[in-house]
Amino acid sequence: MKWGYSLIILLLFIRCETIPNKEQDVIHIPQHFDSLNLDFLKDLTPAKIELGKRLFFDNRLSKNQNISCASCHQPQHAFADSVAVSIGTNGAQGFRNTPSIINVAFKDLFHKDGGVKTLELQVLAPIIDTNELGADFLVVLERLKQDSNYIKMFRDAFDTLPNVFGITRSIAAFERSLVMGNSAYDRYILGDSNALNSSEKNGLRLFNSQKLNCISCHSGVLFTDFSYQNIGIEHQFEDSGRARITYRPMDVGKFEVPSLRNVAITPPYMHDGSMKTLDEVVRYLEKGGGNHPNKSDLVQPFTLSSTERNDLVHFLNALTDQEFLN
Amino acid sequence: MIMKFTARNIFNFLSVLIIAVVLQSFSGCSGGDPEPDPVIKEPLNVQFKHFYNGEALEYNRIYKSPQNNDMWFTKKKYYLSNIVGVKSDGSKELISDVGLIDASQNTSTISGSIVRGNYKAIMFDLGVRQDLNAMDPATFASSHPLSVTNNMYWGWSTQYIFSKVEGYEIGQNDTASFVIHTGTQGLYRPEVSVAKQFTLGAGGTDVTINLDLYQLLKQSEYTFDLIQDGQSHTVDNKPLAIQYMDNFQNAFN
Repeated sequence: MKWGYSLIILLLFIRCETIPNKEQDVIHIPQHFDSLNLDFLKDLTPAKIELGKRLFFDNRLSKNQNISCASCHQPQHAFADSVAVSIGTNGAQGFRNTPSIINVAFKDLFHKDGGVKTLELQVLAPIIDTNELGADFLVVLERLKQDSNYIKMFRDAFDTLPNVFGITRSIAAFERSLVMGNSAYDRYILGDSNALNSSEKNGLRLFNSQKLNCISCHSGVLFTDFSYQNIGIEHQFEDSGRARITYRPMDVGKFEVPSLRNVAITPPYMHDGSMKTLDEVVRYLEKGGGNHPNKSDLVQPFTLSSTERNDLVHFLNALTDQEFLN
Repeated sequence: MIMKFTARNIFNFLSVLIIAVVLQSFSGCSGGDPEPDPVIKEPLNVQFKHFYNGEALEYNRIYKSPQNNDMWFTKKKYYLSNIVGVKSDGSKELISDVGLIDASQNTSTISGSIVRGNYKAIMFDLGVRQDLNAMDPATFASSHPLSVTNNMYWGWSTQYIFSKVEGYEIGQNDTASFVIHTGTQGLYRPEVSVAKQFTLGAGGTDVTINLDLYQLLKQSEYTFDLIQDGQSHTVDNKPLAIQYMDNFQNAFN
């Protein structure tokens, strides 16, 4: 009997240790991302992610039912687009280059000007923007309510019929689930010394060097400090960037520093998609960027040999993750 | 005299004390000033009617612009916040925190219940007040004025569009569309007061406020020429948006 009680207590302990951590189970967090704010995990559920994923790829969210979120945030391009500016439901062009949404869970502000305060609010923007999905939510909701699968999925995720709240929360949940950090670079810093070749290693050394000063903005595990910087892309900005939100002249031409993760597969570059290759970007920064009164002092000219330039670009290529293609 | 603390004495003392308390409570009910009547609230419907140069506003109907061109409207919607009735003594009674007025409807109404009395004005702010402007429109039911389904929200800055006016004007060479969408907190116009004498009594009442879009477009300080300058989403043409809100607040009667 004594042994019986002990066995029960032992089994309880074993049971406790094997209870899956619900938060950790929903998505995989790379071990070297642990320093980031993971509070978002507590609101993620498989039901929300599945619903958000379905909505993300559903053309019914656009006015003419001809595009979805994924039309511009394409998985094969790390959920960015391959053109300078994307085309909306009516054939109109947007006015900024589509950003990747990989690791968007770690952002505090959204859009290149930081004008949107939550990911849920950001989800609204392209859906109602006439240059993007251009949808009337009342129409979208009627479409979704005709679909028994959506009825069930909204019920499972939110215990409601399809509504705008559920659309924004579930798409945001899906986007937050896109946490990825398994590039060759990641494997290298986690101990696989063969994950990078010599050229990529030299590119990493250059990237971290004071000479290039890349890490003054492209810092940390996400390769961005999320600051707003002007690198002199234009003499007169048609898109005033951060100043669009702050109305401060000193913020004209400032845009959020993008993450460099997956940068090799997200051309073209810059807020307007005006640069087609990484080589072009590196050469632009070598000469210290362009001329604008607000240009950051952090952008200073430097010199690279052709080998060094190639090494740097090779390193940037080593930041490409393949997981999002699955 | 010394009272002994016997059981009988304690019983008598407590009995007298209870009787005194009971008598005092009765005297409290019957004496002193009478209680004021409880505040009675009555329904008030503030109806907004829309006109163009004195004629009832209809979408797609031809009117004359201030420049005497043919023009027509396809949209006019706007938000009001802090809608209050102003009593004769100057005190204010809140009718509603926020309302969305849609000129496509013959009459757009904001309703609430406020205390009976004599009133001298209806006052409101043009736009969405700051705390409401910061809210997530997806959290409101479709029937709520602040629901995103009303298509009065800017995704790019996560704020409400305070006012939309859209339409067309025929110039000498072509037909030009005009679109003026105003918003952001700097364009909030507080305490627009419209004089309205009315008494709110049993059963409630209706009050009508008129908005004449011609009076909005043509004022002594500024007259709009929508062919020359008729496009603004606020951030891309802020002077026009500011002027629109400045004129707007003076166009009610």
